[in-house]
Amino acid sequence: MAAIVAFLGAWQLSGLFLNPIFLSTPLAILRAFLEIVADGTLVRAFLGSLEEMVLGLAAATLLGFGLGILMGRSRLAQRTFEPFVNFFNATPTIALLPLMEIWFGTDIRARVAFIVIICVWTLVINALSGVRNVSRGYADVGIAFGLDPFARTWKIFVPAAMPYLIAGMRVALAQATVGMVLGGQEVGESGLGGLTERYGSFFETDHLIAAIISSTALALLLFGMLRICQYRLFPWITATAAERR
Amino acid sequence: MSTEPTGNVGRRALTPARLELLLPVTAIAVVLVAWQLSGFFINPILISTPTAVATDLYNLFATGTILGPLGESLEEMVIGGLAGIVVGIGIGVLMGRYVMMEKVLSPFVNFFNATPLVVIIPLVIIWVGIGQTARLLFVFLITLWPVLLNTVAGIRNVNRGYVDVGAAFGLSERQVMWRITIPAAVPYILAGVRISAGLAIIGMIVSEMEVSLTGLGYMLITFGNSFLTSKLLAVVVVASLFGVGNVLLLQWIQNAFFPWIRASAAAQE
Amino acid sequence: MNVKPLLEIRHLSHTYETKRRRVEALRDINLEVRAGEFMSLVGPSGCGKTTLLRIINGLTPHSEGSVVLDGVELRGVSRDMGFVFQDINLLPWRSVVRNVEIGLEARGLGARERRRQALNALRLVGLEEEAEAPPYTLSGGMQQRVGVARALAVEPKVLLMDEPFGHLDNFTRESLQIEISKLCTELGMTVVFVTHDVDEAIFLSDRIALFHSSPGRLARIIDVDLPRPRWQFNVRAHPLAIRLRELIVSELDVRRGLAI
Repeated sequence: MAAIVAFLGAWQLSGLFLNPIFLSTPLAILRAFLEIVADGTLVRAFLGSLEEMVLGLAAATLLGFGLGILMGRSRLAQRTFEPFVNFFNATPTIALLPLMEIWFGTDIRARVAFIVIICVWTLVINALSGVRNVSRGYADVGIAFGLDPFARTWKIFVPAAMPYLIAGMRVALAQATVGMVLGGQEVGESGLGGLTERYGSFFETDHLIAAIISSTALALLLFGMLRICQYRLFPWITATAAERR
Repeated sequence: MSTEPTGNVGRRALTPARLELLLPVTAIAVVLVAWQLSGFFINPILISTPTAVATDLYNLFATGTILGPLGESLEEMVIGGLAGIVVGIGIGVLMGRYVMMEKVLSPFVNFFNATPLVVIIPLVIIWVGIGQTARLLFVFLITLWPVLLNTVAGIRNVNRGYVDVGAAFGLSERQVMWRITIPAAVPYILAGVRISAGLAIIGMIVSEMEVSLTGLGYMLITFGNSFLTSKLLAVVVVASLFGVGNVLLLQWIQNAFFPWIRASAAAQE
Repeated sequence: MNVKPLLEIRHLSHTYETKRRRVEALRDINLEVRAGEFMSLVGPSGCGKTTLLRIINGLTPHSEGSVVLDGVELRGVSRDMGFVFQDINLLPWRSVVRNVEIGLEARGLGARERRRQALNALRLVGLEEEAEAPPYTLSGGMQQRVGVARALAVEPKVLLMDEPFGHLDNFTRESLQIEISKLCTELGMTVVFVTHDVDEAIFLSDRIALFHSSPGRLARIIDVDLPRPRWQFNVRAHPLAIRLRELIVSELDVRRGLAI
């Protein structure tokens, strides 16, 4: 705690002899932050980014978990889709941003599609792993009590695979954040990414750092929400189990 | 799916094992064919066709157009990435060894780790301008955190039993640190390196698209802006190969230098 | 005959604090181990016998009392003792022989000398052939034999063994018990051996120290006057062994839960 205070103090003092363009000072950043909150710029950008993230993640989760669970339950599906999933997972999907622009132009659809294409593969792989690694014992319970394969999937395999699914969501969240910012910077000037782009090009360091910190805050907010969901909905997952990817 | 009786050697048997292999191969073939045919009724600007992509891929290498940018990209990724990994391990070890350091640095490390580092690019540009320094710095920053965090975790989570061995036989604290704790942390460190190496590729491409247009990122943006989809996809394929090569390289490194990791992990399961 | 003991434990107590309460692990332990003797510490789980062993070695510091080896009070980890762990704990990134060398590294020996002593130790347990092998290629029993070699390599005055065969299957355990018995007799080694297996203790020991738990206290010490060598007859069927077994079981049973 003391270190943080010391750090901030040193930072503030650096403004006295260092051109504020480089690092600005905590007070200036605070001032800039309050300014863009007051005139709504930050709030608009924050909400815009949040909207894209949520849409993108929701779509990616549906598609990703859907495919992953299918592949986990059906050997046929797994063998068929595996090469594609592995290929795209190894690809630096960032490289596909220009393709998204070709497909969707420069509006929100491009950015959301970008987010989806970045993080869906992690979700597929984690869902696949999760379902495959469900303990035989649980599966046997389902069979012994007469559940049909479809019911077994939803009542047993999916809940049992939760630790993997949640761990996958955590990684996907980090990836989606990158996609959100990059999309905002490159494809139209939107959201928090767009803010950083704009402030950067005008050398408004204090606003820029305020925007950066807001982005971190958004990321932490979403991680926190994920954690709360995990504890509320799936309290039986211990933290250690979920960390194991 | 029938298995031939042993009396009829020479007839091809469609065993379950063969089928397992056939399925993905067929799937890939089907997709490629469908993709090719789509060129007839979908505007090739959208997804192009395999033949066009393959041709362009070949040409890019044959004419050497891609070699320059490829070299630039590779150089950035390797220099920036290695620097990030080495520094990450170094700081990680220090943080693991000295509890004071860990307490002091922790909040900053966690902050930077949570930040989607792409957002820092404009700041990096303000610091060092547009140029190779900026790109290298960015790649360095993006690779630093995963390996640092994993190193710290590895050192803190070292198997108590191994440390006991060192202590019970009278090894000094320094000996325990270097001969036991750090080797024991290697699996964690490698996991971090794996993640960081993947991020190095991403960092490289992003910085090439955003900071200043060079290398593969440059080609991607240019082809994208000109709607030259087949060329664009060809470059994407090259980038994918980077990714695949990365994974394979790290797997090889682990198997060659640290074969005990898989074995002891399996034993502990 | 008045033989001065090699190892003495005097008024040893150990208390530690957890977040919730203070735990008295050991209370006023007084024990003597003679040179060349095989002594077992036997008691139910949680009676502190492992803690005591670790305190003797110096791995765990104690709150009160003293541990005296050869007339010298021990502070910190003793270099004259070898420790064999229940979890075996071979370092997976080192070859077998490099694992055996680890105790020697603390003593500042040169590489060649270390290698020589390590190979000697491996020869004692019959695993010289596996010197360059990585530990994960060895079976559990072989790994623990390497663990024993590691402890012997430092030429200890006392060998400390913490339920060394606990994680092994029955057959491996029995063959290792015989091997340890032979080895320690041959070397004239002084051994302190922790186990909860009464039969194992009777088979191996000259004397058995019985412990109660909560807090860990020494109940009594029993002499095992069975003839040696013990692997040449059926110890379990021997009348004295049967009597000892009953004695031990009843001792640990009756007083359990009663504070003294």
